[in-house]
Amino acid sequence: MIEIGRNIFALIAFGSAVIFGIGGIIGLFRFPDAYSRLQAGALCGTTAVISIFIGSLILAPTWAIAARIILLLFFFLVSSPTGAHIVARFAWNSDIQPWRPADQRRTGSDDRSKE
Amino acid sequence: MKTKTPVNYMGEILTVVVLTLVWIVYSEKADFWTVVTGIGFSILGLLLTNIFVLKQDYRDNYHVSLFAMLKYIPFLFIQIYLSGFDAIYRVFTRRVNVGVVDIKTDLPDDYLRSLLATAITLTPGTVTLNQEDKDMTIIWLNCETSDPVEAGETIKGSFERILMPGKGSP
Repeated sequence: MIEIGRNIFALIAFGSAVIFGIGGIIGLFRFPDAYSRLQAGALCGTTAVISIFIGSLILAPTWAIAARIILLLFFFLVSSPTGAHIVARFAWNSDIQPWRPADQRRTGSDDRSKE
Repeated sequence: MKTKTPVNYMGEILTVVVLTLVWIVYSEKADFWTVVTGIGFSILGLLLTNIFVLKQDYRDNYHVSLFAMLKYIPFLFIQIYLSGFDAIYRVFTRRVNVGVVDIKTDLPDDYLRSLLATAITLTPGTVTLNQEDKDMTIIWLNCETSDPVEAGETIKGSFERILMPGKGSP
């Protein structure tokens, strides 16, 4: 019974990983600019990878393997936002403007000319 | 460097325990010699970090409590999933309004501010572009407002309240 429960929860985790992964890839093509594509690619990817880690954690056969997965998850939580931040910062420093709909003028802090 | 507060080695002991546990996990063994070498290397690592990396007494600079972290991590996971579903919704509906907002944080030290920046970047929908002292520049997938106070509350409000020393509730 416990084994079936574990399998079901792991399946939910892996299923959500697939949904987030596919969503991220679709977002990469559907979104209009570098920043929103970064959000789709890096951040939906983050959620997908975390889901995979959670699924693996549920299915971990021993505590030693579970502890190692938790450590990997911790390192991933540190490295993933750093990578996303570096790409976003590079785009920002390269003067790439965020996309806005044609009928909206850029206002406030979006206007980099004020700097 | 002289410390103003009375010397308390609890932080060092806790760090050695955590590092030794990591050593045991990676060694796949928990026998006597593994534990002893783990403790030895943990103390060595801690000493080298204290001598060469940390310029000041970190106890005066890093205000993060274990209790705050225990609240921060589950809350972070919940937020990652909630905003993950929101991001998926925006992928399929293409309802995006990308904007860059400047927000201000009241967190007192660099360590807490970097934890906040990490939380903002980890939650889908927002990425930290830049952080200088207490000012942060955030790229927001669904930019609702360019007002720094209002945007700050939406983007970081709950995280900041958890991380704020002396508080610890969302």
